[in-house]
Amino acid sequence: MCEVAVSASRSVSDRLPGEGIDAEMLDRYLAHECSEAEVAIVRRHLMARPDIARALASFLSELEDEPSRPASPDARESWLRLRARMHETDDDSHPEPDSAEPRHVAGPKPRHLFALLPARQRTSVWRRIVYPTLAAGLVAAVVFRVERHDTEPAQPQPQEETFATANRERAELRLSDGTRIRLAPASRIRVAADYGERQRTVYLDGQGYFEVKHDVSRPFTVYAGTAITRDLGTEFAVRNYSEERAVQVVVRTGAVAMSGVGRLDAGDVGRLGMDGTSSLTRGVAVDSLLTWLDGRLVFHDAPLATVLAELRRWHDVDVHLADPALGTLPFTGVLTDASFGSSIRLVAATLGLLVRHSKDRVTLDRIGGLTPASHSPTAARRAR
Amino acid sequence: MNKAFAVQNEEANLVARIRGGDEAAFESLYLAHHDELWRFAYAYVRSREVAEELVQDVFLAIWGTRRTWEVHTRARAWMYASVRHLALNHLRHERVVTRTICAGCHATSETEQALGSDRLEATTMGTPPMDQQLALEEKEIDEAVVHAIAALPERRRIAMTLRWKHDMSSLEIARVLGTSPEAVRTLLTRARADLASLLERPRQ
Repeated sequence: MCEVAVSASRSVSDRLPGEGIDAEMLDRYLAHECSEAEVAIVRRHLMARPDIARALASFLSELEDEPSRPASPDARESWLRLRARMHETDDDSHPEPDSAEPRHVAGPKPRHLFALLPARQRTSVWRRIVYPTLAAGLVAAVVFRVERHDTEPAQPQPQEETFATANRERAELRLSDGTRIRLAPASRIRVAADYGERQRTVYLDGQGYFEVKHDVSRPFTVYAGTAITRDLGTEFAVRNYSEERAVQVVVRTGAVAMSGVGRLDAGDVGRLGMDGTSSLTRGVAVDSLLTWLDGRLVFHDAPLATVLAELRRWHDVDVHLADPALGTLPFTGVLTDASFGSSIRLVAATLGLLVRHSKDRVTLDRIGGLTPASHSPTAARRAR
Repeated sequence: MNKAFAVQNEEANLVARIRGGDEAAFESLYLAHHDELWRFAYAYVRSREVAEELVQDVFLAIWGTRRTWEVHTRARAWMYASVRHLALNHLRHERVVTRTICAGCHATSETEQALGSDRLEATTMGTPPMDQQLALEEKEIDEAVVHAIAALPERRRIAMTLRWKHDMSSLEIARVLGTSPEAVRTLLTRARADLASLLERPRQ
């Protein structure tokens, strides 16, 4: 389908730096005409050189003004307008927008202080495309707020408190004993009613970073999924997103005891799967696993599906895959929480995928994937 | 039967129905091409409303002359060519050709502001030194890219856009630009060289 692009006579300037990718191969890569082997070469190259991947992403998006381009009109609404012009009649029908989801905010003076962190993301064109009304409902300011959930009335501890972040939100929680917890987006922490009396117990869904005031007489324990992590004087992070089917504990300083894994010291990463499998890795550069605290997401050979799940949490934008098989493509790179648009463009350019965006969804597709909009013979040929 | 033939056949079918005045067929054609044509028009005219109007004008023209609509080439390339033609006409009338014809010249204060704040946020979001380094590099890349695209002649930019963003072959691009496939291949060779020199970055 595409001839091997090796030519001894090609000039040096026509060759990109690195692993023997030339401009022609890159062109065919962007036009999706490369063989699988060539695609692998280009991807490896782009992942090894994030600066080049970024330049490429930037170039492709600027070609069509993507950063400053408004959302395209909805095709169906536009069709109605065209039809009106065809028949020269007025036919206005604007559907009522959905109202933003109300958020429960209530509670008396709290024992624990909960603060949403200011959102660093700009409300981008992307969000205006995807959730125009919801975006207006989320305020990007520091808000002190307590959510009390009167869950499970049968529980013997009526004073239990729950704190949660939605997608795009991060929060900081200062517990009554001075322990500080930082919550990633889409995370929830329950604080036991008797917290601080003889024990300090919290329950985590999602991801949190714990800076614990050590106190041997009152052990600090995180319950996350099937894992129980007990503080031994430390700062550590726990990650427990249910769809990942495993709990990961990363220790930055001090030590913790993790059920099913054992003692973890600084630089150790423990994993406990829902299926009972466990692992312990020592001597990890843990800072690279904690970059989310600064709003940076670092991926090493992460499946695309995992990357998209993370983007959903950090930007509240759902990205669909035209073909579920794309979800296994490995991605390596650094994304920031500053802009969804630049993140998705970088991922797409690195993996050689096309970002399709319509009014209500963002889709990643193979270039030339068979969709109703692609009527070119080359598209059909390539989609074989 | 091969798929390319099937798609072409389906389109020919649609065109035949439209010539017979079938509004449902016309709607399918519009919905299938609206988004990509709007994007293509927007790159010229920089206005959401004007871009929509141009795309609709092309379809109104098809509808108005449907009985005699002759599609010698494929319908898609024909629609792109029409949009480009109307867009260039519009720009001539607006007398703003010089400031809007290149993708990189973000000339209106509105887009400049939008772009500026985007960049600003992208560069100030980070935390300590490492992020500043990254942000600085990103800013540098963005500026290099904007300049590179601003320097592209219209035809070269369109050739690149149609090939990489709209998935067109050299033959289709030739039909949009009203030129030969050989000329398009020349344009694309130059485009590749532009891209290669942009990506020719020393490893830190």
